[in-house]
Order: sequence, then C-alpha cells, then structure tokens
Amino acid sequence: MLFILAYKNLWRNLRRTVLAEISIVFGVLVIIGSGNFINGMQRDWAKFEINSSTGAFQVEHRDYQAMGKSEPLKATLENSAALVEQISRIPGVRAAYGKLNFSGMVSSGVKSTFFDGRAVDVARQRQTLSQQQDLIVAGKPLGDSAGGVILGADLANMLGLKIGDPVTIVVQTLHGGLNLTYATLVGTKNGRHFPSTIYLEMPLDDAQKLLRVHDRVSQVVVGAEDFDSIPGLMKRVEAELRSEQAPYVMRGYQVLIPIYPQAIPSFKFISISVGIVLFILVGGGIGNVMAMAVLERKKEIGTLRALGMEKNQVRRLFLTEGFMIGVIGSLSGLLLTSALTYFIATHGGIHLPPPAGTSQILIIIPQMNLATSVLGVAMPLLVSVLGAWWPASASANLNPIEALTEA
Amino acid sequence: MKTIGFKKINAILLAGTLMILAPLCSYAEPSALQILDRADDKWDLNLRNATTALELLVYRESELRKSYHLKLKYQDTDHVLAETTFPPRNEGEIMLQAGRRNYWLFLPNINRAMRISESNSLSNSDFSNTDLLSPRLSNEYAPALIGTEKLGDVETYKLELLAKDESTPYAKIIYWIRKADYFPLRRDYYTFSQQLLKRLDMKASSAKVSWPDTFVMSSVLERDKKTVIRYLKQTHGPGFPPETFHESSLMKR
Repeated sequence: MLFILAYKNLWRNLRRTVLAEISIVFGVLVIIGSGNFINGMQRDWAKFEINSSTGAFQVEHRDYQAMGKSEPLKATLENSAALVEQISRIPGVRAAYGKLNFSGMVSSGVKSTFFDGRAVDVARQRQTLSQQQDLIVAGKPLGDSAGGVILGADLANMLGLKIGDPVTIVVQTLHGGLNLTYATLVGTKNGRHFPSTIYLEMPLDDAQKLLRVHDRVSQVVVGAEDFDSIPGLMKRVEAELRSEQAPYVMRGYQVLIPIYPQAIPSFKFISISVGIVLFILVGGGIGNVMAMAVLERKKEIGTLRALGMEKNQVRRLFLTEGFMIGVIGSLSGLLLTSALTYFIATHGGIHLPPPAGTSQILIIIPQMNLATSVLGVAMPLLVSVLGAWWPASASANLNPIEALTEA
Repeated sequence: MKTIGFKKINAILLAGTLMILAPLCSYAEPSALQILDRADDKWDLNLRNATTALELLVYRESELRKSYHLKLKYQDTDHVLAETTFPPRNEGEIMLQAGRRNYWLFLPNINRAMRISESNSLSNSDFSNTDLLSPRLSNEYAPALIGTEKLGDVETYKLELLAKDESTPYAKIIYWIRKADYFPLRRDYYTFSQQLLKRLDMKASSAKVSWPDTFVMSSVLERDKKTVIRYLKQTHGPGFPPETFHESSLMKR
C-alpha cells in the first residue's frame, strides 16, 4: 500500500522527479564511469609494462634485493637454463626467459659513461614480452646473432652514437676482474618511466661470457597466458619452486613496474574524492526535491494525519519515495554507464599520444569493475534515502490542524 | 814428465776461466720475478713510510678538465691512505687501503666510510684505486720474461704478468723495464677477454730522480683522454701509527 502510494506520488510532479533522476543518473555515471576509466587505465598500463618489460612476475634469489645494488652478480640464480625450462612448463605460463643485471662503463671511443645493463635471452624474451619492440625508437630489437647492443635513446644521444656504430663495454666480472668487449649498436629504446639515460641491453650469452658467470641469471621473467590469472599463477609457480628447497622469491608486476605502487593509491584517492563530491551534490539535490515535496503537500499530510495516519507511516512514505527515486536513478545510471563503457571498449578505447621521444601509445579500454559498480549504485541510493530523511521527519512532525490551516 | 806439466797448466787455466765467468753468468740471467721485484722496488721502497703530495690531472679531448691534489701516506704496498686536499668540493675525501684488497672511501659530507672495489675509478680518472695504491705487482701476478725489446732507444726487459686468480683487476699486464737499472717504463693492462684496456707510461721528472714520479695513464675507452699523476713533494718519517690505516679511524669524531 505504502509502495503504491509512494510510486503514484512520483508521477504527481513529473518535472521535479525527472530532475532528481537526472542528478542521480549523472552521479552514477561519473562515479562508475570514472572508476571504469581509472580501472581500465590501470589494467592497460600494467598490461603494457608486463608485455614490454617486466613480465607478469619475476623469480629471483632471495638475497638479490639486499645485494643487488652493490654486487648484482653475487646473488644470482644458478643452473638458470634448467630453471627457465622448468618454469616455462608450468600450466598458465606463456613463456619465460633469463635476465642478468649488471653495470659498467660504455664508450663510443670519444666519450664514456656509466650504464645499468640488462642481458636477455633474446629468443625467449620475444615469446615472453609481446610488446617489447614497442619501446624501440630507432633501429631494431636484438637479433639472434651475437655482438649487438641496445642503448637507451638518451644514452646513445649523449655518447653521440648512431645505429651501426661500434661501442666498447667494460665491466667488473663476478670475481672482481675487469673485462671488455666490443659490440655494435643495433637499436635504441625509450618509453614512459624508462631509464633512457643509463639503459644498455645485450644478449645473455654475450653478457655471461663477458661477466664470467656461466649459466647464471639475476631473474627469470615470466609471461602469463591471462592477465587476470596472474595472482593464481604466481602461487602455483611459488609452490612448485618451494618444493625444490631453492632460495627463490617472487616479485609481481605491481612492485616491478616503476611508480606503480605509488600510483595506485593516487588512483584510489581520485575515485574516493569524486565519490564524496557527488555524495554531497546528489544528497543535496534529493534533499531539496523532498523538502519541496513536503512544503507542497502540507495539506495532504494534514489530511492523512487527521484521518489517523501515524507519524511513522508519514515518515516511511517520504523515505520510500526517496528510495524509489534512488533505485530508478541508480539502475538507469548503471545501465547507461555499462552501455557507454561497452561502446568505448568495443570501438578501440581511448588513445593517448606518446610522450616526446617515444613511440609508446597508451590505449585505455575502460573496464567494468564489480566493486566500483556496487559503490556507484549504492552511494546515490543511500544518499537519496538520507536526503529524504530530514524532509520526511519534518513532515511527520507536522500538526494536522496547523497543516490544514496553513494549506 | 813434460806431458804432466802441460795438463796441469790446462787445468789451472780452465779453473781460472770458470772462476771468472761464473759470477758473470749468474748476473746475466735474472729471473722474471727478480726483474719484477727490482722494478717494483723503485716505486715501493721509495714510498715506504713517506708522506707524499701529488697532483692528479684529468685530460679529456686533449684539454685539462679536472685537477686534484692528494696527500698520500704510504706505509707499505698494503697500507696506504690518500686524502684529497684540492679542489675544495672534494677536500677531505679519503681513500684507504687497510690491508690486502681491503679498500675504503670516506666521504666527509655524509661522514660515512664505504667499502669500494680495487678496480673502481679513482676520482673519475683513468686510474683505478689499485693502480695508485698498490704498486707491487708480484703479490697478484705471476711474471714470465718474454724477451728483450727496444722501447724507443732504450733496451728493456719485456715481462708478461698473468693474474694469479680471477679477482685480480687485470688478467694480464705486459711490463717494460729498463735493462740498465730496472726502471719501470710502461705497463699495458689487458682484460680477461685479452683486450687492451689501459696503458701506463712512467718516467722520472729529472735525471736526479731514480724512481718514477710521473705517471701517464691512457684508456682505450676514450681517444684524447688521459690522466697524469705527478709526485710533487716527499717527506720520509719513522712510520705511521697503526690506527692510521684502520677504517674505523676514517669517521669524524
């Protein structure tokens, strides 16, 4: 009975109801839409970094983080070829490759400077990182033949090197002696948050000979078949390796991607801030609509009270009206946002241009998220009820005689 | 009777000849290790228990780019302390060799001493720490005499020094030493891939000086790049207190 009465009341001033619904739909659209956009941006950023440089996760020696900066070769994984093979066979792993981190001096013959190096198993890296060539800004990726080297675009520029130029590399070997090799610059890399001023990449075999570390790597980089299954895959790999009693630890893409751990709280803060602002705006709008309804319907309230309607019943009537406005607006907003998200996602997403000096286009495909959707619907609904609360209480407290007299 | 007399004379002549030639023969064949030690003595023995002022000049593209002054306290080949006295930006920085292969760098700005590698560059120059602080090569390398050679007009011994283990900074050093007085003239430093990395030329600044006091290091990494070290002033003393060469004494009190 109360629901029917409340429903009929919504149609009595259609313009006001529609205005209230529009404000709720807009609120839901912004909350869920911005959430989907941020969620999509997070996922696409993570996917790009995973497929171009970090992999889904990496396996390394448990002491690597403590010793890696001062003596990166001391805490490396032995029998790396067998380890890579073992990890590659685990279901859910697309491919895996060994990576060796080292440092030294690189020279053009005229200038020399410090570098931070990565040695990679080129063939396996190609299988693991499907987008690693996207970071190439000149030349080509490392080939299967020995003697090639890739530098950060800024490092190559600083040394005055062009593609095809010879470079000299000097390193300290595992045991402390110095070693030197000559190589040819085959390509340069750059990208967002890419260490372009110090980056050097060379084939793993060349680096292992140069550094005199036979069959050792700093990390095994693992590519996953499916982005959403990464946490489960990490657990499976960890369980398999733990049984080997070896000193392995895993590091997920969340900690491997530069500034990712710092950026995620910022994204959440933006989402929460948007939600709070809309909470206030939508709540104010609903409260205003319901307050106007109380003022306009004083005579009706007086009549209902005179006919014996309890204060509680009057309050519940207005709360139900607020709830109904909230439900209709929230669900309409959810439908509209879902349709819009689907449309953008199926039409290629939003393309962001690459930063200067890079070729890395970031495509953002908005992504529905259950938590954001629930929050986006629940928040305006709650606000609608709360917004109706004060006018409902005011209406319930009206004296029937005064209400009829004033009306 | 006549025959016996002739044999006696022959025997006496032979014995006399052998007695004269024996010391000459042993003098003409010094071993590779003896040559190396005598050359290193020129440098090492002269510095023992001495405080030496030296300047380090870094040239890039044939122009002087940086100039450092250092005060070197040298006890022996394993205990050396080098303190920067110029420029003001680097004043007070100390490099310490506190024993064999135990190198430290003290940075006064942060009042912190950190362990460093012997193959690290010395003040971004072409010298590494071990080049300056450890002149005695026979500790780390096994020498072999590979011949004699003329370096310019000077007759030299040419030694090949092979690292005794892989932790030694250079895998091989070719060393030219003046035959006449074992004065060290040149070292070529090779890496484990048998590639030439650096060349050190040594000379005395004047005819009165019998040990090398000017060192010029050039690297294959950069053309027209070299670093020159000149020993400016030297005072010998009775020795240094033992704590001088302990890393704990580096920190400011």
